[in-house]
Amino acid sequence: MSAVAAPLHVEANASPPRLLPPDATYGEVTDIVASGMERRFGRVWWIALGVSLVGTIVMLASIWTLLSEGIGVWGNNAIAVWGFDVGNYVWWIGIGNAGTLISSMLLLTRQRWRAAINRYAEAMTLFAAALAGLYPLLHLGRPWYAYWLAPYPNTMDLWPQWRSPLVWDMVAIASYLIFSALFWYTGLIPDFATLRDRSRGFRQVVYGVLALGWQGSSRQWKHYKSFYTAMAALGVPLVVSLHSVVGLDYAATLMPGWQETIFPPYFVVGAMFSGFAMVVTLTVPIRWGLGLQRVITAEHLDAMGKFILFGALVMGLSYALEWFNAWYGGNDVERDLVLFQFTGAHAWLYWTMLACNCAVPQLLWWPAARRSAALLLATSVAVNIGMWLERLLINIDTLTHGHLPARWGFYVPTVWDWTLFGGSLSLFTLLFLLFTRFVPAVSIHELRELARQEGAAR
Amino acid sequence: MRMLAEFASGDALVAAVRALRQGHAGRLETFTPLPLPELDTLVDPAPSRLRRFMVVAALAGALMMLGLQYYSATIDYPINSGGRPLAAWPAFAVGAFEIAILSAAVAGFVALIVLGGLTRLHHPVFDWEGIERASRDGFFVEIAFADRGAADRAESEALARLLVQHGAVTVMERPS
Amino acid sequence: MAQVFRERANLFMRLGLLGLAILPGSLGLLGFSYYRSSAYTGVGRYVEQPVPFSHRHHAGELGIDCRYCHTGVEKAAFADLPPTETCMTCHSQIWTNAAMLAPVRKSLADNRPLRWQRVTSLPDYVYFDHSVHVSNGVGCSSCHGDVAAMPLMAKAEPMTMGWCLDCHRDPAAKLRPEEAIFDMRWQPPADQPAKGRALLAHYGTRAEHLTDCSVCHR
Repeated sequence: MSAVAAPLHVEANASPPRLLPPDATYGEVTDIVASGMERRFGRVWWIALGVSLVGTIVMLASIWTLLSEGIGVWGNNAIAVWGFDVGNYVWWIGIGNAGTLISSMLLLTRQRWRAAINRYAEAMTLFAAALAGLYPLLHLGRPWYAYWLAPYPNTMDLWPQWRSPLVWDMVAIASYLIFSALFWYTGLIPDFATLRDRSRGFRQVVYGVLALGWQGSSRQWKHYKSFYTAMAALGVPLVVSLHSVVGLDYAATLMPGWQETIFPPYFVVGAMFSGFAMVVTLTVPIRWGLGLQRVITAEHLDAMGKFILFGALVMGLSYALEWFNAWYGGNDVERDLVLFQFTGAHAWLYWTMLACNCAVPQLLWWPAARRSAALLLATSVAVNIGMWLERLLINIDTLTHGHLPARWGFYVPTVWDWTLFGGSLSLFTLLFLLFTRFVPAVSIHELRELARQEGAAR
Repeated sequence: MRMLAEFASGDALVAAVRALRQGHAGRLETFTPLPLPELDTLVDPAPSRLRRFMVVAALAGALMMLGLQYYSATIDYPINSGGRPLAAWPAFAVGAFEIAILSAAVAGFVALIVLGGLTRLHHPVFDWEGIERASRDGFFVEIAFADRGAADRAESEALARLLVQHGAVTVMERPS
Repeated sequence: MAQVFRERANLFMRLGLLGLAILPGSLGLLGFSYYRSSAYTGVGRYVEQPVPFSHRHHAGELGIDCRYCHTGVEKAAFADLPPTETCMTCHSQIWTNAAMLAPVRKSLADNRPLRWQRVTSLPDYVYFDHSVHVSNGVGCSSCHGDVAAMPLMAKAEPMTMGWCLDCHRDPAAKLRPEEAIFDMRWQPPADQPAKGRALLAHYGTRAEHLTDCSVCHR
């Protein structure tokens, strides 16, 4: 008996897989990250920078056209009042939620592999949330009056309509943007001090100001830890509330396919799912480009792959619940909408979405697929596409197939829809490329902590 | 007088600080490239007061947001929107919640800057030779003590010996 | 390690952070005061007209009734600006050669109306009707000021939505009896609250609907 029990016992107590090389010293892990950003950037980086710069200029031109011509340049019409604008907003804000959610959840659950991914996941969050905020602003038609959404003592004596989810959305996004910027920056302070102490001249002054005179004293670390953990604890409910509010933007209406109690949690999971997919999509090039294979290992890819698989299962369940509720509710319009999703004008997009979000990630049951950068990247890109289709279809399927057959219609995006979307991807890439150049893409001090926890360095 | 000792590992620093705390009661501060939880109570047993500010700010923010919504929707400009009650507190809770978290975050960040002294770009501690390793792989402890003559000097020599015993790589001294 | 910053940098850092904290508030305060100041609302600003017409002389000193020129004020949304012929009812007889009136004579000769410039203009999305105000107890001077004392016409009130709402929320405070509508010097009497309530009933105004969105935005 004991011969059988012993290996099981060892298995249960086996130490978690190592995330850092067993002999990694504090100096080494510092160098791995810092030298990644200090060395000369190769041709690929410059070409990517040039391409994304051009894309950003195209986006500016698209915005210019929109502002000078009006919303009519978009594919939105009197029936499909929400199209690319709101769909892309929801897609970006979903990605923009994931970084903080991932970073906070993994910190609170003491997941050690967080140390290598949280920094760029948070940067992703910040850039994506800022881009997400751009869409509703442009969608206003007269974005220069966007401040009317804010409660301030104006000469019109008017106040926001607090009972509207759209106003909650504005409050939630504004709070979230400031929150995630503070969370990200706080984590960066000790790393800026590291960069200050290893650079010279102008760079040293800039990093010195950004490091706010960080000394690494026990007093500073104590307050830092206290603040950072509290922020993580606040971040989870904030993100959940933010994306629930995004879900309520739809669920508080009377439209078929929108007015569902499942929407808030379903949107939160969708956000985590698409966000994790985006983290993986970014992990593979960052790991390769900055030479971080030693700190972002196959173990990290494996863990993220499991998250995507879990997300795919929950999303599949959510879709199934939508179909079930449409049937079980007995409302003809709801049933008709589900039928329209599967067989109507956008059916091929719906099937593609189901394939990308539910079928393709099933590949990740296979451990070798989770540990292969190429396969994981392919899956995560599929999920990104699938989630984008989902966000778009939520808008256009319901709006073009609502209660009144007289108000059924079509939505076709125009060139200005596509340039704005492509441009926002370019701007995101541009910001990310600059981020990898000037900011440590991986939290150096948390890697040092990891080295101490794993016993590589004491 | 101030004395600075550098250690090659966090464990050595923790052991040295523990020994210092048993003998010497003077002011000391450590500088490390990563947070060492053991030092939190050894250097200064008082826990961080930072979260108190966050709690107060969160409550104040939530109350202010609730107050603003209540005032604007029921007193300053009541609008009958589809027969919903004017003081729609379930709807007001959403904004109040977001603002509570935002207030806590901002207050905590300000508290971090103030309590952590994070405006001091210039600080006497940066005058020490080699202190830049505190953001890489060096573990430092700085001890401040009075210099009033031979007795203190003997004490400083004893201190230096203690530090070296515990594995200090370098020990430096300077007049305040 | 050598210090990266001089000691003075600490002061600059603190001032900078403080400035960063104060900046949004001060910008808000600046905007708050600017949008309420006459620099923005144009209260008290004279408007250049083709002829320097003096309301003080005509309406004040000579006592010509407002409705002599602004004929539509009791009947229509627009109060009306007088055609050249209205000026000429007198000025074909008096001051016929005054240099100041040359544009009026030219307008008549060419059969081209004078281009009077608006002093008070509301945005297009505001539906404003003079007649409903004038015939329900709102006097001229409540919005246009003491016109009979103005040599040149100037904007008297800010015409912001908040200013409109001041009356629409509490109309009784400014309502006048019919005979006082065109009295430029009318001031609310001491018992205005009681009088105002009586006038509301007299005019049949349902005050609770005066702040409905569709009252002004159609």
